[in-house]
Amino acid sequence: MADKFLSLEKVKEVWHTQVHDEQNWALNKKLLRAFGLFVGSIIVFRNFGDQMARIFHQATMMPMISSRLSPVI
Amino acid sequence: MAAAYGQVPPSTTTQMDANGEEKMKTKVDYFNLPCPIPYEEIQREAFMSLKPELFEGLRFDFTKGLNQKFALSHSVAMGPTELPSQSSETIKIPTAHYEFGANFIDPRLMLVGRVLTDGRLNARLKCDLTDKLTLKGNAQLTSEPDMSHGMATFDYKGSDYRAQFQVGNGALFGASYIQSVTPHLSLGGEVFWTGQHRKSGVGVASRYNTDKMVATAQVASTGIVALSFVQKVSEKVSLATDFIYNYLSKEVTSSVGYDYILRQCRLRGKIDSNGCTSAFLEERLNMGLNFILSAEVDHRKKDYKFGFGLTVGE
Repeated sequence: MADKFLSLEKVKEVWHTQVHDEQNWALNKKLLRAFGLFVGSIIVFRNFGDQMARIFHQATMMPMISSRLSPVI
Repeated sequence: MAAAYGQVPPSTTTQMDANGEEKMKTKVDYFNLPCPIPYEEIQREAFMSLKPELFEGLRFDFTKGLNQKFALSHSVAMGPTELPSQSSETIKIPTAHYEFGANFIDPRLMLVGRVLTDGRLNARLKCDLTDKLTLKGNAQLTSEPDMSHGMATFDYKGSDYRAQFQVGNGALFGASYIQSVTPHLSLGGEVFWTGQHRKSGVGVASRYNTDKMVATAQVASTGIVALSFVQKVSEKVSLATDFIYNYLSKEVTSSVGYDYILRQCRLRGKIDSNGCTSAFLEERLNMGLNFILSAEVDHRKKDYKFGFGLTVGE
């Protein structure tokens, strides 16, 4: 049988070297965590960016409003 | 007038989008593209939001303008300075220094000089030789042998491109070019060669920006892959994230941060994938008087940095 470009053996070999090898997996874990944080942030920013800014604005405005409403205290 | 006769202007067409609303689509004039951002500033929005000037200790800056173009500055900094160490622990030495500076700012010429108490002199020059050609220079002179260096840069600004050529001591040569490909997309590349260390490198970068967001990607043969994304939620709020991977040294970092401009202050904060959080606050107490607070906490390395200061003047 002719060698295929992508065979199950090659996939297993890559999986074994990248996941089961301690050194490579330590780097891959850091890489996945960082890239996941990057992509997840982009998704959150694009979908919920306006709401985040509104919540932050309200949180920073609350002390100013409460101090004006209660001058006696 | 043409519409009155039932004719549509040739540069615009109407389209129906998913909501069934008409949308005017302007045909792109590829011979009239905007001039792109300089190559070295391709990530400036992400840089401004995610990399404020964090410091540790006390900082006091006083700037006095003598006239519209000339100003003197006095800066005092007291705090620990990190020393490079091969172990994971950080080594800090308490230092204090005073810096005297002079600035000359003209529409076509800018000169900035700083002298420190340890004998170092920093100088910067920016001169618009013509409307399209700019000369920039910077130098750092010290009393230690072989530690002084200088660099000159020539920037040429075209209609839809920018080109730059750099030359520095130690036989350092560099060039970069960036071109607007569409009204929103620009692509560029750079190359450098250091004769002293016999090293060279190439890099490519791309930038896509709209009114609401900026996305950049940069790859260099020095091993750096840098991606960034900035969402401009409003004029006062920006959310930014970046991803930096060095495939030669096997280091990777991702940061998420915000930049919030209030009436009286500017607040920037970020957290990164190594568990380090930081924040930087600049508050305007009065006209020309700013209070600054800086904090950086790295629980993993057990490194905690807090700083406060005042800036007086412009």
